[in-house]
Amino acid sequence: MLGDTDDALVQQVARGDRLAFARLVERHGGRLMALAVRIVGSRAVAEEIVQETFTRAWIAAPKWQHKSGSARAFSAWLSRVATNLAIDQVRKPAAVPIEASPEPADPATDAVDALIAGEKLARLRAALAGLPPRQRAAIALTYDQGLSNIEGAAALETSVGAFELLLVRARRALRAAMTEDEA
Amino acid sequence: MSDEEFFSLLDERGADLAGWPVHLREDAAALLERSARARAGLKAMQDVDSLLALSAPAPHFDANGVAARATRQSQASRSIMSPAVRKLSFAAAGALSLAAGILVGMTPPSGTAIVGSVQMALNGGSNDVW
Repeated sequence: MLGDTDDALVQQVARGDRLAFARLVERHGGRLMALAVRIVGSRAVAEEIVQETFTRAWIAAPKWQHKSGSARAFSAWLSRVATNLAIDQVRKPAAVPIEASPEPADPATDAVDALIAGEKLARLRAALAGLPPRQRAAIALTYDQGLSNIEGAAALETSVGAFELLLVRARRALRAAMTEDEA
Repeated sequence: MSDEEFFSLLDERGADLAGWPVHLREDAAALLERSARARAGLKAMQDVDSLLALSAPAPHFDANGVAARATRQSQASRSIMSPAVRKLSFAAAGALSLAAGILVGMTPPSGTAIVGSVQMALNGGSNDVW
C-alpha cells in the first residue's frame, strides 16, 4: 500500500504534513539514534545528530519527491546524512573523546555489563573509541544496522571495496584488543 | 592454512565459520585442531561479535520532541509556497514570457528602421557610405 511507504510519507511532508513527518521520525529515528550513539559515543550528541538529520529531511522533502526511486532510498539517505554528521562531529577538534563521556546510566546496559563481566565490554568500548571515525561507522552500519556491504558503502559514500577494507581494519583492531584481553 | 591466513579470513568474513566457503571452512577446521593461537583468535573474534550485539545502543529517543524541534528549526528554511503553487508560478512566468515574445514579434518595425533597411539593401548590404 502506497499510503504508508516512506516515499508516500515524504510526499505528504513536502506539503507540510507534520503528522506524516512524525511518522517518519518514529519509523527511522530509533535506528539513526543507535547508529549515531555508536559513532559519537554520547546519547546527548547523538540526539542532536538525529534532530539535525530530520531537520534536513524536512527541508529536502519538497525536492525529494522528484528523485526518489527504490523503496529504501529515503532510509538510505537518512543513514548517509546521520553517518556523515556523526563522523564530522567526532572529527571536530573540540569533540569529547568517547571514553571521557560515558552514556548516562542505562539499567539494561548495566545488566548486560554485569552479565558478561564488564571488563571485557570496557575493553571493547575502549577499542571502538580508538578506531578512526569511518571504521567505527562501518562497524555500526554492519553490526547495529544490519546493512549489507553495498548499503554500508552507500551510506559512507564510498566504494564497496573501500567499505570492506574499513571493516577488515576495524575487525582486526577489535580482535587484537580482545586477544590482548585473553592474554 | 597458516595462522596469519586464518586471521586475515577472520577479519574479512567474521567469526561465523558457517558462512565461509566450504573449502576454507575445512582448512580452518584443520588449523583449529592444531593451533592454539588460531583458536584464541577465533574466540577473540567471537567475543567481538557477541559484545557488539550485546552493547548495541538502545534506540529509544524522544521522537515527538525531535519531530517538533526539527520542523520548528527548519520552518524558516522551507519555502512558504507549496510545490503546487510553485509549479503554477513557473507556468505563469513561462506563459507571460511567451506572450511578450509574440507581442514583440508582431509589432511592425519603426519608420526609421524601415528606411535603414531599404538603404542597406540598395547598398548591397552595407550602409557605410551613408
